[in-house]
Amino acid sequence: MPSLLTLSCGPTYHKENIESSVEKLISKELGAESHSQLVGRTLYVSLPIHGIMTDGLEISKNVIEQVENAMIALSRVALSSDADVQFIVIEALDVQWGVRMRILRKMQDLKDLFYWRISKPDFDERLVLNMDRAPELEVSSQTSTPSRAAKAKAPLKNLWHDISLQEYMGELIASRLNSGAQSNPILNLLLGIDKITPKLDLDTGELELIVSGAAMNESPSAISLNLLKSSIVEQTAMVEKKYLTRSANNENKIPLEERLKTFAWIRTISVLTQDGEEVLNLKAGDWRNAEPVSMLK
Amino acid sequence: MGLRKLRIFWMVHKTKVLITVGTIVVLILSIWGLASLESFYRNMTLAQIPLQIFLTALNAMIFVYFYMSVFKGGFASMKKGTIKPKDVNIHFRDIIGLEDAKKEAWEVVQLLKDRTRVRRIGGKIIKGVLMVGPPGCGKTLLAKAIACESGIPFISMAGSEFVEIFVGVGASRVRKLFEKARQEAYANGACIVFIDELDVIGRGRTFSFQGGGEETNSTQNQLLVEMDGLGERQENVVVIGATNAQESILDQALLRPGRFDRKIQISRPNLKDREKLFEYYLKKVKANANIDIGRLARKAVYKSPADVENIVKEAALIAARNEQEMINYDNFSEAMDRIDLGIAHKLSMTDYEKKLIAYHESGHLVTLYTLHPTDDVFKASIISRGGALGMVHHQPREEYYTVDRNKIMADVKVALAGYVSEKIKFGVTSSGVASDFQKATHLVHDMVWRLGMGTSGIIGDFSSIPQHEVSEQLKNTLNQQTEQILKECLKDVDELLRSEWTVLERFVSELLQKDELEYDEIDAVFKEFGKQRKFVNAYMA
Repeated sequence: MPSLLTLSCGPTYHKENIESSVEKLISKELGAESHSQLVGRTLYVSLPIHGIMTDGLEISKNVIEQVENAMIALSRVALSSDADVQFIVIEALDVQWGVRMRILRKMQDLKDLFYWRISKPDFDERLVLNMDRAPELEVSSQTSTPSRAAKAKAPLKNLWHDISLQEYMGELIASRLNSGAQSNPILNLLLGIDKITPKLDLDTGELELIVSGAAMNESPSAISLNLLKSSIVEQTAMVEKKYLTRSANNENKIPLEERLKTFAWIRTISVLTQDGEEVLNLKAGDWRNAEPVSMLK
Repeated sequence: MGLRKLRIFWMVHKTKVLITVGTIVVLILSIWGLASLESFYRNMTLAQIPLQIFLTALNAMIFVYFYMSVFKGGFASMKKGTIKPKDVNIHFRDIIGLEDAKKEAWEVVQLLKDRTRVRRIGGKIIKGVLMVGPPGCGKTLLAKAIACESGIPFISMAGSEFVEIFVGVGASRVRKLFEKARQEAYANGACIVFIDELDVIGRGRTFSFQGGGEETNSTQNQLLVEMDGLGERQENVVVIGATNAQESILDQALLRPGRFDRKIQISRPNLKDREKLFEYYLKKVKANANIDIGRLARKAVYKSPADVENIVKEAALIAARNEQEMINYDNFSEAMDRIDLGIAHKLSMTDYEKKLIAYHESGHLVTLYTLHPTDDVFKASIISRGGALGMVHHQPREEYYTVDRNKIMADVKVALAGYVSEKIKFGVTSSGVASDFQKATHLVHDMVWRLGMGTSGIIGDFSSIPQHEVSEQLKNTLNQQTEQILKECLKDVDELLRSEWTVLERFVSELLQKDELEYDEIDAVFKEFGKQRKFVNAYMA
């Protein structure tokens, strides 16, 4: 009855207790303990998962489901809160395997999906997914100690910061390159890339993509470099088209040049090996004037 | 007492109450459901409500539109306008003939005109007038004249307009018709509803297990209720029904006093009325002033006013086709032949066949002229018309409403004359006698079996009782009498034709030469031989 009386469209989750709301909801939906924090306009939640790998060395479907449910719960809170949440981040930590799964999503994309501004395939493309090894998290099932478990609860809290759109876009480019390289075995073979880590410097307008992989550490072949260049061009152009052709309030379409007048963005992309050696350098004109060639899904 | 009232209220309004309560519960649950949603989803749902309401309303409107126009309104709608008296402009003086019918109709008009005085006395104006008569005799015209003379508006509908394949549409149309009539009566004091072809919806109601005839039953029931039901308001709506069918076919509930109070018989025009009709229609066309209207009227026995109009129109068309400046008698004659007998169709026949037909028709002709007490011969032809290879067209001089034994016997003899003529001339007869024998046999059979005109003195209508209830002996006797009469007639005709064989031969040569002989030509040939029609004076007395 009180909710009936207060049906005046007030937020369900107030910003003052958004973190506890997330933790309560996740506890209710998943039956798991979690830790949530709102940093600026980015809402983080970390939660433990168990058995990310099955006995058959496949990714556990239960874990995937758990993470999806956590994403849904987090989205629900972020959408129904009066806090200004731009990004949501889930960090799922498997202390047994020492693996960290990080999912980053832009809230406006979710709203656009609800409002039918973007399609479902387009929405699926706008997901940043990273998988890391975190040996410090590895806890043997027989030797787990409370201190280690507590460490596992919020291991990267000190790295939690307010994510900007530029950083998100950089991470999205890198994530798309990673997923494309790993999902296509031929591409994987030719590129020889294990992982691409982005590093954004807005002062210089440079995005550094640090590539780790056998093919890159040795002298990369011209084929690999061309393929990599094409992939970077494609993904960067796609990300710019998704996020830089709309006004700041995301309501109107505007030309890229006009948006760039008020939005600080990269002008160059450098591809570096883990040793710091630059193997590729692209200018803005390379991806803005290139013919669209789809190398990655 | 209060509890009883509550229970009755519940019994009467149960459905409405349940629907209202259900709606309120659903509304409350919807609001509760909305309230339990998280704010984002709640806002989204609320934002979609106007669009959903709009779409639901649009769906409902489309459905209602289709329902009204296809399932209910489209078929049940009436596009009948009211005809004002000044638009009708037909008075009794414009109707030719129907003197008796006009007298009765005039009484109806007086009642409608003086309806206030009638009501003051305590009387009621009539509810319905039924006009019974053959088609094309002026029923609609008389109804219009009643409306015009009484100065009240007039709505006309045909009985067939009430009938649709969907049950209930007819009754709905009757309701709409009377609703409109009551509105007109309220505005103008009274209103006439004219229902033509009343027998379509006015036939005796059927009550069968299989439910057949339910549509016309419901339509008729509605008509009965509208004419004399428990209405809230009784306006002066007068129903005039017209039908060609006999009264016995109509439902008795329709014919009782309080519904169709008055019955007006509309009959075909007599000789004088036909003359007036021909005069009236001839004024509208360019016709030869020398046309003998009396002769036209005599030739058009048993014709209705619509038939007369049709004859004049057809004659005009024939004259126009022949590129004539005006219509003459021959055009009328040809028009009547075309209407009565069909279009002439010249077949290419052998000489023998042509001769055979000429002798056959001449036999009919001579016997008819010599023996028949009532009919005149208007035409003899050996040109094929309407499936017959030849014909002798005859009509009574006047309308007769009964037939006596002499006339029937004459008809039989005329029918057998063709056969006799062929027999005398050729020794063999043809298949052309089939229809003549059929006619003769039926006539004699009726005489003996139905009309008690046999020679043995047995009387009664033995064809109306089941045959297994008639003894074999009686059947044999009656059949023998039939056979005897036929033989007698044959003998008489044989004697007659042999005695008049010269005249017959003359007609044969005339027919072979001209193919067709008209009234004057026939008369001239008979006069040439000094012959005169028999029994004419006895019937004309």
